[in-house]
Amino acid sequence: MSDPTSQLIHRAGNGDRAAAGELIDQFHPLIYAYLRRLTGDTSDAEDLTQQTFSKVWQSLKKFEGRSTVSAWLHGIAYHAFADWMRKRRPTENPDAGWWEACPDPLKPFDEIADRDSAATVWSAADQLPDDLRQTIHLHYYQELTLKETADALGIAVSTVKFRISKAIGQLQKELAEPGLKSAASKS
Amino acid sequence: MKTESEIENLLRQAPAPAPSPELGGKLKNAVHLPQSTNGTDLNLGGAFWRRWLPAIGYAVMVLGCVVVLAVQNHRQSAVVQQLEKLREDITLKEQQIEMQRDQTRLALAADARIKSLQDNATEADQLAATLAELQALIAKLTTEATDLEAKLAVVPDSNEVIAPYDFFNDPNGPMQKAREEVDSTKCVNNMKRIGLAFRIFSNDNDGLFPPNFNSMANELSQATVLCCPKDESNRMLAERLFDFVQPNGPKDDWSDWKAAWARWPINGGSYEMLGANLNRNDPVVDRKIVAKCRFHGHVTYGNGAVIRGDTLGGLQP
Repeated sequence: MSDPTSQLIHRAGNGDRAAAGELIDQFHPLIYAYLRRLTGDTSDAEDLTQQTFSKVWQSLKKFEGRSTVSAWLHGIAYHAFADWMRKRRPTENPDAGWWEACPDPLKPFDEIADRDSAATVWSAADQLPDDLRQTIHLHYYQELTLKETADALGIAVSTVKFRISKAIGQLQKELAEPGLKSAASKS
Repeated sequence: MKTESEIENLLRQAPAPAPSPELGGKLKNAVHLPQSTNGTDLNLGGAFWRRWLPAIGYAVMVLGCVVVLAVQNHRQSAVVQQLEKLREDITLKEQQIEMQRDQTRLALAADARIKSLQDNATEADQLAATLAELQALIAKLTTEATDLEAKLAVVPDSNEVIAPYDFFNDPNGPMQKAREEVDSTKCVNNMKRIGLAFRIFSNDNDGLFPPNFNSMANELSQATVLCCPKDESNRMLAERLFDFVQPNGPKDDWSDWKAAWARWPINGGSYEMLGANLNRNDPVVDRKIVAKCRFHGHVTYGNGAVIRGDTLGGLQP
């Protein structure tokens, strides 16, 4: 609990609003990005981000330092999203791709084929089952370690590894036979 | 086909949607932190309690259980001691009750003894009274005896001997009555034999009865049949006349028998001849008396039936 981020948590827990501001500045883009990808809607993502931080302020005393602050915050965000999914249906017409809301999302890719592959992979990742999708988002998109991903989801590291392997395998199939799953789902 | 690492690279290069610039401000304005607690010692203390609270709680629970067990054990011991004391008290009470029962039994026995003695005293009083009465009676009898002795001294002695009671010869006694009953029964038997002799004679003489008893000598065999036991003179005469008769003697030696009958008077004996020369073919003859005892009044009818003179009932032939 000696890392600076954990100190921010404890300071905020002791009523230090400056520390709370630092936490917001440091983590709210990350949490927002996570929720924006999951919800597919900007306003829903902002609402969930606010709910997430509201729960953070209520749970500051419960943080024991067993996981990193990032994993802890992502866990709270994950549960907020799960509650939101249970209470209301997702947007009828979500964005075609969350990445399109980003400015020049395919810039890192030089070749057109890679750009197509990236969009295909991201799109296919959103079509994965929820447990696999959450694992992919946290580990690859949010760049959490296997341990942090496991802490955030409340599962074992071995389970995270299994889900990643399974998700990558399904994405491979999707890339090899593009449109197979979507066609199956339509039929 | 993409390899796993290529797919992983594509995933890692995914862009991050950026929040609106206002979101950070909104979040900061919505911060609701808990109340400040000065210093970090308390915080460290909180960590201490969070770490050790389960163990301390468990220890407190165990300690509490131990205390509760000790208290319960102490109470149990006290209850056991109290129970023992109560048992001793109960034993003592039982002994007292037994003693009271013994005393009650003794008192009842004493009462019964006293009542028995009182009864004995009452009985003794009654015996004493009876004894007094007896003494008075003895005195009275003594006086009377004295008087009688005095009278005896005056009256001269007589040689009169008072005969003792003769049970067998008392004319009014039961033995005499029994003898008379036996004589009466013998008389009835004689009259039945006489009735039978009438019938036999009539069978041999076309229904005619004989003119007298002597004509039925063959049917009567001996004149003793014609004698009532009470008619002692005739009976002694008949026994004397027919003493020789041998019932199983030779048939042709009847001279004595004939002589005896010759010496027996006509219609002699105890019975009155009333059916002489009657014809038995006349139905009325059966209801007529043909013989009658002069002593008992027994009668013989023409059909042979005999009626006792002292009763209304009849004897069948």
